[in-house]
Order: sequence, then structure tokens, then C-alpha cells
Amino acid sequence: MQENNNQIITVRPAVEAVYKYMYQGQERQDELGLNLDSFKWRNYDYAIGRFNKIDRFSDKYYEDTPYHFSKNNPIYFIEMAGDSIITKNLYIKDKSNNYIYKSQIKAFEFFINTNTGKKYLSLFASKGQKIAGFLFKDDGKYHKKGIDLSFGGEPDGANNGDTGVGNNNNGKPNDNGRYSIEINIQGGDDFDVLSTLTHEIFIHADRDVKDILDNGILDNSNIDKDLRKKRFISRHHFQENRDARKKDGTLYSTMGYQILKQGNKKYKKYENNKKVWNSMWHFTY
Amino acid sequence: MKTIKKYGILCGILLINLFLSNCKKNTNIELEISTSGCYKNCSILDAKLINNILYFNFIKNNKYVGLYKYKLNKNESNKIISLVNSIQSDSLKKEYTSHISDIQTYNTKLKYKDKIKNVFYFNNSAPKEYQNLINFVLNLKKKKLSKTDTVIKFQTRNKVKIINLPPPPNPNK
Repeated sequence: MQENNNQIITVRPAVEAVYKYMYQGQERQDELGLNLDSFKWRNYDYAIGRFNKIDRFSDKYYEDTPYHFSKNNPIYFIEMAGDSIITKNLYIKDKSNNYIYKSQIKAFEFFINTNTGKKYLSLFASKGQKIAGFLFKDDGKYHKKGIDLSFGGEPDGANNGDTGVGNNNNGKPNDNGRYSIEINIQGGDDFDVLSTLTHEIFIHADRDVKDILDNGILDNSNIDKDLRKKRFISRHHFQENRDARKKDGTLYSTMGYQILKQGNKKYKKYENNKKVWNSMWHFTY
Repeated sequence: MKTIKKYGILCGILLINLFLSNCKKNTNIELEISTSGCYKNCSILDAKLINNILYFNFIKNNKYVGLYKYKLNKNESNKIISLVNSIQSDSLKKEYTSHISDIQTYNTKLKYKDKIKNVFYFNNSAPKEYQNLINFVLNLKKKKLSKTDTVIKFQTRNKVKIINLPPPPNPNK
């Protein structure tokens, strides 16, 4: 309250401090009586329980209406951005608002900021997706074919990583008919984490994609017949070692090597490129 | 009074026998494990439990290299018995595989009460109770071990062979 020429005037703060991040952590837009929840690409009208625009990935979720929210099951599902390169399991924060998987994020952003890394990930990207400051302008070839690529972190360990297809569906497509290739990376030394990420993308994820695309299922059909008998964890490794000896090499032995040479320049792990090359082949057969 | 004493002695003998028979059961547990590598630095080793002595053959990515042994204490023996008893051995499969690349695999052989179970599995794909047993035994490698010259044959290693391929030639140095 203020006193002015014997008149008492009530002064209210211009903006009331109201916490606006409501349902599923989205900002509530209540100016001018809008009453919408602002999601990344469209707004949710909670009065009618629907979005006000169609899902930009409605073709991926053909079994649902394009206006649905959380598959009409908000107790079981949360609404996701629906992009084809999924990083929500990588960019996770702790209670103090710090990223948990710092070295994995560093490696991922290093990878995506190289020309070769960007070019490769653009195969999976959906039009309009923005990752680490880079905007993908077109739908990638693999995105159009129904394949998503997901990145996740694991606590620090022995710089290991793993790659699987639809880990909850044991190699089968998801309910929406799309395959999800999931890469998990442990934290640790910066160069080693980058090396693991490069290994998982170029040796395993790429071979899984090509295995699916050649006949529609994951069945080792792109592995030489004599190597299909090898243990499942090793079949890609044997194939990689064999293919890298061919004239044109492989994605891992060409693009992967380029990325790791650049990584070594930054992190100075090895004295020379020969050692970088040799470090790329220390895995289980 | 004398009858009560006699009865007490009898009960005592019975209890001791019961205890001894339990101990005897424990010595009948035989377990053998061989681990594969994974993408980078998983511990590759063989382990064999016979008569409450656990032998480790450390191969790669371990604190030690070579053959070591560890004598289980009573608590550890009892824990192993309870873990073995928690397994539904009749429903155990011979193989639990996964489509995931780069994870560690385990080849195991469990002998208990005249039953033999051979189980090969990818990490996190076998029944929890079975994995708990294997993990408990493998974690005993962190105890104080002593080097040994005993010759131990690890049959489970055959299925998880260690292969070293040379790197391909560097195409663009």
C-alpha cells in the first residue's frame, strides 16, 4: 500500500509469480485466456483433452487419431516429441539440474558436430529436428523407412557400450510398426567414450539397419553365412574385421576412423594415428 | 531324571547329525563359470566351486592373471545354498540369448543333488535367481585370494572361446 496526497492506493505486482510448468512439465499458456499447455511442436487444450494441431508424425502412429494425447492413455504414456533420433535417455538431469551422463553427451555432441557424423545421423533424422544446435532440414532415408535411433547413457564403468533393436521387444518392431535401434554408452575417459559411440553406431547400429532393410526383419541376413553361426555378440565384429580388409573398407574403418582421428586431436589420447587405428580393433570376437 | 538326560543326549545327537548332513549337502554343490569379454573391458575369467573352495582363472581385464583360490566361510556357503535353493532348476533352459550386441555372456554348469544344469546366457537374460547365484560367486573374486598351482580343468570355457584377430591393415594412415 502507498499513501499519496492522503489517498490510499493499493499497488499490486505487475506479474504474479506463479509456477507455470504444469502437466508433464509443460508450460501453461494462460495469457488472454488461452488456457493451453505448450508442448514443443503444438499446444494441448486440456479443456477438451486434445492437441490443437495434427501430430507431425501422424504417419508413424497411424493407429491413433492425429490429435490424440499420449495415445489416449495419459496414465501409462507420456507425450513425446516423436523425433526419429531419440536423445531423451541421454540428456537426463539430476535433482541439482546437472546432466548425469556428461561424458556421453560430450561424445555425442562431438560426433554430431563432425561433418561425417552429421551426415550419417541425418539418415535417421526427421525434418525439423534440432539436436545440439544443428537443425535437420529433411526427413532422412532411414526415418522414412520406419527406423528410429535412440541414445542412452549408463553409469561410469569400463567404457563399454551396447546396441540392440527394440530392447523391450527383443528385436521386433514397436506397436507402431517402427524399429527402434537403441545404443547405450557408459561414461568414462572422453576419447574412449567417443570411440565406444563410434563403434556402436558404425559397426552395430548400421548393420542392424541394413539387416532390417534388406528383407524387413532382423535375422542376420546381411552377415556372411559362415559368420552367422558365431555368437550373437560377435557376428558383427567378425564381419567388420573381414569387410574392413576390402578395397572400399567400411563405415567404421573410413568415416569412423576420420571421427576418431579428429577426437584424438582434441583429447590427445594417442601419440599418432597408427595407435588410434589399432585401438579401434580391441573388441571381443 | 535319568530318562530326561538320555532324551536330551539323543536330541543333541540328532541335531548334530542334522547340522552335519546340511554341511554335507553344501559340499555337493559344484559350480563352474566362464565369462566372455564384452565390447571393451569386461572381466574374462573362469571360476569353479568344489568342496567350498572357489578357484579363479583370471584371463583378461582383472586385477590378477592366473590361478587363484578362495576358501568360503560358513556365511558364504550358506548364502550359496540359499541362492541355489531359490532357483527353479526344472524350468531352467540351456540357453538364454539376446539380440543385443556387445554385452557379456556366461557359460555355466551347476551340479547339485545329483542334478546337472548347463546354462549359457547373455547378461540380464537368464532368470534373476540364477544370475544372482552367478553374480554372488563371481563377486567373491574381490576377497583376499591366494595363488595356487592346483591344476583345474574348466569345461565351460569351450563355449566361450577367446579369439584374437589382428587389426585390418590401415588403409589411410
